[in-house]
Amino acid sequence: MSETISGKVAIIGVGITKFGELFEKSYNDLVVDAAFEAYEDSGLNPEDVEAAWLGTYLPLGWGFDGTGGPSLAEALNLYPKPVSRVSNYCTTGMEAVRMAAMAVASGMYDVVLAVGAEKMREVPPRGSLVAQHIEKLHPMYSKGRTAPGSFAILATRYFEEYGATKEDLAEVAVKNHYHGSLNPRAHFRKEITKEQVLNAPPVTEPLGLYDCCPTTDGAAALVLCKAELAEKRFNKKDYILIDGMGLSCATGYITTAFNPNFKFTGFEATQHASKQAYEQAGIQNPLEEIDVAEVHDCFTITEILNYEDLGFVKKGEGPDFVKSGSSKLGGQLPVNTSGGLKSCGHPIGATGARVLGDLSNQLLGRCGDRQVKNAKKALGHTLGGPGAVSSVFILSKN
Amino acid sequence: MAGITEFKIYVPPYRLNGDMISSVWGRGNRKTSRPIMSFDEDTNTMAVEAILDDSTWGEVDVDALYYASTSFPYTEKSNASIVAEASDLKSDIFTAEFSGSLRSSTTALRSAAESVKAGTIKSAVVVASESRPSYPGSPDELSLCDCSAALFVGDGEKVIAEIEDFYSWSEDFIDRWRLPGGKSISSGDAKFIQDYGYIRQTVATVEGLLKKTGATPEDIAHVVFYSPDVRTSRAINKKLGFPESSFSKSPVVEKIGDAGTVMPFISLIETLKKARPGEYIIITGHGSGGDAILLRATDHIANFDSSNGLEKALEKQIPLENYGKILLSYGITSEDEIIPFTSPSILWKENRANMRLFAGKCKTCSEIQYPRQQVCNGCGTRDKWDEIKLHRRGKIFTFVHDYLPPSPNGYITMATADMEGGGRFYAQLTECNKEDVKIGMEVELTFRMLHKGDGFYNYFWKFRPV
Repeated sequence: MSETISGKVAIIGVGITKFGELFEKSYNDLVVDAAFEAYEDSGLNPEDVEAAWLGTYLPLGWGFDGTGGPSLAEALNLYPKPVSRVSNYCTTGMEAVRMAAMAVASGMYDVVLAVGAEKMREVPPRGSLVAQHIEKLHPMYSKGRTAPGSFAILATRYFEEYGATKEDLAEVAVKNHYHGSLNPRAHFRKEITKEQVLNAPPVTEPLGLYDCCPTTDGAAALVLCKAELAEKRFNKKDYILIDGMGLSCATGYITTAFNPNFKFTGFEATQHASKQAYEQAGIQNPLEEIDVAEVHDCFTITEILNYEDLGFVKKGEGPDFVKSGSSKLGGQLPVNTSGGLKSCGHPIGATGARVLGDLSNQLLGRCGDRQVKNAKKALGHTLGGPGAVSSVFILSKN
Repeated sequence: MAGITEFKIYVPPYRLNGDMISSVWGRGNRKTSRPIMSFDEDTNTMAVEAILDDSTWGEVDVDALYYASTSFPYTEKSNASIVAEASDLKSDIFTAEFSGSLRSSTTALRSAAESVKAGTIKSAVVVASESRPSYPGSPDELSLCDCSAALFVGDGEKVIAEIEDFYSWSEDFIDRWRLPGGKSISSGDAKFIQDYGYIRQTVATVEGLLKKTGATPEDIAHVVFYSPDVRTSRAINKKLGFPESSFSKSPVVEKIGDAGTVMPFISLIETLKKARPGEYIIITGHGSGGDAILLRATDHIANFDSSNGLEKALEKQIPLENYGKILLSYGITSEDEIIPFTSPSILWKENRANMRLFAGKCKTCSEIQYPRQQVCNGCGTRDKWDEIKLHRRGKIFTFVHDYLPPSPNGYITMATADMEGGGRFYAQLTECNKEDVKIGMEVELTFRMLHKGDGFYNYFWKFRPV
């Protein structure tokens, strides 16, 4: 790697909408709410934005909800600036931020905007993803396959090899619902019990209803600028620096399930992406050096595998990490203090941007009841396609 | 001389039981049970089952496929090409479909044997497959049988029964009929059909054969008539006078029901299993006239492994536990329809992978990849592949029971299995309750109708427990 991103790009503004079933909000409403909150937070004038990236995974229609850059330009009146849309499965929101950060680091722009948005609840929950697998994916290989199924199939293998159980998974759900109860913007704000998780109806056995994130609407926006301009031009005493960011495509989308080398007990994409980010950020021991993390808990099993793939613990020790309370608020390395995808919800394109926004707020000490004390270094992680692609960011306060 | 070299019968494991029919409709013999195909089977998939097993997987080398059925899934478009592709038969093959009459199977057998005799082909597989419709609650509901059977026809040392002669005749006759799209079989006057159709026509068919060949009933060791029930068979024989010993005490129709075009093949197979070298056999097909075929068992029959008979085909039996499952087998479902995406050009491009199950083995790094990419996902080499056929059997590496996609069972079990000989396959698991699925469980690939996206049949492979 010739150059590191470390220290070159600052996050100076964060905007996150309420996440939930926002039937009264349009796609454009969500984009505007998130972007203008970020504008206000950064103190810039909308005209200052020189270029923008939009992350939306799967436009439900054509031309009015994130099909391309014009969707964002139209919502925010960014005409005639360069705006493009990126899509990279569940890393989409993070990918918009990564593109924006690279553009700033290249020196091409001083100030840019990254927005992640997904409006999933204009259709029934099933219509957004389950039906898509049947209606749009490969005529043969994808029939019978779903997103939850593609993660649950790892749980079956992980249980077999490491002796983990559904009770271990339930710990993740209980923890993240507790965290979500403290986050006013989360989709679910109720605590749940282990019994509720274990007695919930099956969705993709061994996963039950509470092992799965909901189908949610939401958007998040970040204003990024050259690090040296944060204070000089925007008068920011406190701002966020990107220490490292990695992205890895380590397997195929369809082919993963057919791949004889895929172990079904973890995700190489996360391992590679975190390695890239750790190298840039100079992280040697993530468990010791990172103070707060948001990881991709689309399903409870995923969070447990993430602990291991990100190097927080060794292979097979993921269940103990959550059971011991290490990943809970007040623990050694609080994970998903926002409530995670489990409680915040997972508007696919928004999630990655939301994760980085939430972590920025933690580092700036703006998280109220769920604030991690003295958080100086944060890790954000997303994983998509199921497990084919992963993005990892390391952030710190200036 | 041309003759039979090998055979196999496929009977789907699901059973429609008389006690359920009786409890639902208030009539029907409680002791009867009939085989019925699964919701993901059709005549074409059953035909493939009759051709493929562990020994024939990727190994069927024939010059022609003769395919008989009155219930082809496609009325227009080749059904034989589907069976040929899934059975991995060579592409320069002669395919022919025989339909309409219930004797289309014996007609197909005659045609295949004549071509082998004439020397225009060296070998053929003749397959009959049937899934005739019966209206829920109709008298046919308990009498029909879904199944298939394959006869391999060839020449030389492998022949276990030579096909010596044929006799066919035609006479238009309205007995039972079905119009396109018909949901059940219509019938004329039962007594008229019995006496002037089944009995008179079959008697004339057999008499014609005897006259043509100069044989007498005493020369024939085994005789099998096509008839919808045992009583009719007896009535036919009463007129023909074959010795009691040549006439089966427990005819096939009594064991499984009326298998339509498949019936003469199963009867022949069951006869071959007990035939001794030198014995003569007559089988008949019936329908607006008749076909009669005279066979003679060769010396090779004594050493022939005849385990592929009806008994083996009936080993696995799964009673359908409620009438809803029966309606699903009829194709009647309340499931909401999400129309699956498909594309004829994608299917055509991927035929060798999807239908014939060919994977790639990288010449550089030896990685086995399915579905094969152009560039090896192991080492990055472009287009240096040996094509290898995936093995039929494998062991489940991991699995999931998914309640989200529409499925007649409420859930779909998806499994990834390590295949014998290398490679991994990922597919739905069929004919299995989720309680029985375990990591390490042995499974085999079975050809199934996956969905009807875009209004045509989309076939693919599923796993089933061995």
